[in-house]
Amino acid sequence: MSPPDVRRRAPRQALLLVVLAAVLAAALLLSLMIGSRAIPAGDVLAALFADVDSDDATVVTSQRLPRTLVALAAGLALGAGGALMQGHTRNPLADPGLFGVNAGAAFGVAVLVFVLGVQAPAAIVLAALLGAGVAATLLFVLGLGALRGDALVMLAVLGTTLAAFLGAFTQGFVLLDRQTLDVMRFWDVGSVAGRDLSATALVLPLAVAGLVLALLNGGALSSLGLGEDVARSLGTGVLRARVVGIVAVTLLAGTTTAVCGPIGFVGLVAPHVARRFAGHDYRWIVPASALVGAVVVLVADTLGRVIAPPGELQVGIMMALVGAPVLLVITRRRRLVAL
Amino acid sequence: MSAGRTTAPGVAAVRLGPVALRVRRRAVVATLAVLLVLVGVLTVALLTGALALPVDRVLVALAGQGSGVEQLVVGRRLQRAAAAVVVGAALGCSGALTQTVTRNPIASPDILGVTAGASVFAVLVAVRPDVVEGALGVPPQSVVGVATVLGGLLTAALLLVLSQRGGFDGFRLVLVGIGVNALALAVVSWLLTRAELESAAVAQRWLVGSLEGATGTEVASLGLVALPGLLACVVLADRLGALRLGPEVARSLGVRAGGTQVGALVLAVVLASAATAVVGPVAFVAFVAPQIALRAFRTAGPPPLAGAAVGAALLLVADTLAQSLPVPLPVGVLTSLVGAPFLLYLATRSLRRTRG
Repeated sequence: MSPPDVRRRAPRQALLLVVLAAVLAAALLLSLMIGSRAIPAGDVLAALFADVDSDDATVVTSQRLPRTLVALAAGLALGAGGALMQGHTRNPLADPGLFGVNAGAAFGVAVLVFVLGVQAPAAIVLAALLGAGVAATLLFVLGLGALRGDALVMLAVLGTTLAAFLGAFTQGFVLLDRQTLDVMRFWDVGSVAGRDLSATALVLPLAVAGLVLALLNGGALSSLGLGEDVARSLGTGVLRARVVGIVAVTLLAGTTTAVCGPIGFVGLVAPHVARRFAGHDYRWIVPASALVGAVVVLVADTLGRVIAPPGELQVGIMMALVGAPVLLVITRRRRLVAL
Repeated sequence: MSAGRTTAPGVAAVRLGPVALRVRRRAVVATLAVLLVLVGVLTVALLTGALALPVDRVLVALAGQGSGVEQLVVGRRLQRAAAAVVVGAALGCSGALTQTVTRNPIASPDILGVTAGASVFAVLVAVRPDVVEGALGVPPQSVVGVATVLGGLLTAALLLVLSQRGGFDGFRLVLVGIGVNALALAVVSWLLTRAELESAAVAQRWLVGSLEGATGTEVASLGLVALPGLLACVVLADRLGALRLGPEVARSLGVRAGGTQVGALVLAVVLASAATAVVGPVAFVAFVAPQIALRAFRTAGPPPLAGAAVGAALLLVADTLAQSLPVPLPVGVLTSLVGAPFLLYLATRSLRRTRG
């Protein structure tokens, strides 16, 4: 059931999604155009759709297209995952990076490389998923009790502590083993460039599944926002909704981290932007947040290419540089409101 | 010397000629216990290591005799233990000061990102020595300390400015600290990806916090910072005690609250950053040590001096443990593994209290 005003707003919000999708398309195009060598939009489109054979075309199809697609997928996943985490924990600071889910995935990968000496992409993905799942479950269990003002802060502290704890293990493995260091040093800084496309193809179905689950979870999440008792009386299966939420967050954050390394703050920023436009209904917030997340990651990645020549700033670092100030702004609000 | 009558439960008056002191039994017992741990672990640290040396040879070497190898080995062990003690004391004292001023157990320099901010500057010097040498015309090693302390102070100033909004808010400070910490870590990771693998391995190890690279001169110069710092804590003790009751009460007790807060914070940041310059950001010691001291000494708030003593013992224990593992780990990994669950415990307990 949906309250009448929601139904009335629906066309507006559908329009909003269309606008967001248009912005996303523009961001995609910019990502293909901008880099150490600027390529005009016409040439980009020609390279994509016509069979052109030029240096520019090669750059577009072999270099920029893959990283743009990875950025798109990562942004969609992290944006949706962040919205789910903020909804389920009812904490405006929830973010897979800040709350230790990414650290859990990194921990899983480090254990794999260090203990088992395995570096196969499929195994890395699996290990990252497993680590993310454990961390997400832990946080949800802790977070569900934390619904009041001070508890909001404590949950953020819990998350960062969990990240520090798992990070200590990861760091220990890295220090003990040069092979692990070599894998983790670059993986540890989230980036969408030069990522293994076979690994991406491997996790794509999982990420899509996560995205679908996240979208399906939106309705239940909205009624859960009224409190578990009210949600139950509205006919929401509370336990099922929570489990779906955990699985979706794990799939989304785990797959992204497995391919790109930990990218923080997307999941923090995107839902806040989405909420500005989409209101309080998670059926709209989740898709809007996914689209915003994709735009944010694409813009961050594109900016990172040109902001510090001759090198590049990885998107993980760009997101921290952009996202940490956003976190600061959120905390500077007069009251830290619970969601 | 004669023990006087008991003035309050657990408190004894000790008279020594014209001087009379009120002594809390608990504090005496706790002090003795911490000293015992320190001496015990120091003995273990001197006796164990990659090269097995019998007790008598260690004693001979300590006395300045014995073979060159023995003297070298024992000398290095002693130096490493000294580094652990001095760094631990600086961190413990620093944490107690910040926890007292902010009246928040979580607000310690390592969790708020002060040490991370300080290490940004240290890593900058460590991975780009050529730039530093070109810009300043001095060898990079000589400016690491100054750069780190400067970085710590800048980070702390940033924290305070950002968490100021219509008055000071301890919770906001923690959240801002988490953000600043993430920001500083991102910058450090970026610097590391730009470095050669060799120096990245060094910097990585250095970033976790390790006593491996601490040289005698570094430890000595940290001691020169830490000792006056600890003495300043003795001077500040009364005022800090008043501050624990809140700035308003402190003011009504005749304490200049603002000045004391600023002084204590600057002292805390300098101590923590100076320690970071020597061993890197050893996590959680500054957070845990005062909290252990608070419970062991049963004081009203986190005690700076007892915090320093516990910090010294804690770091020495952690490093000796880390060294005795089959593959020696840097001490920072071990302190995180111990400190993080303690923080989780404190946080969940406060969650439960908020809910109940």
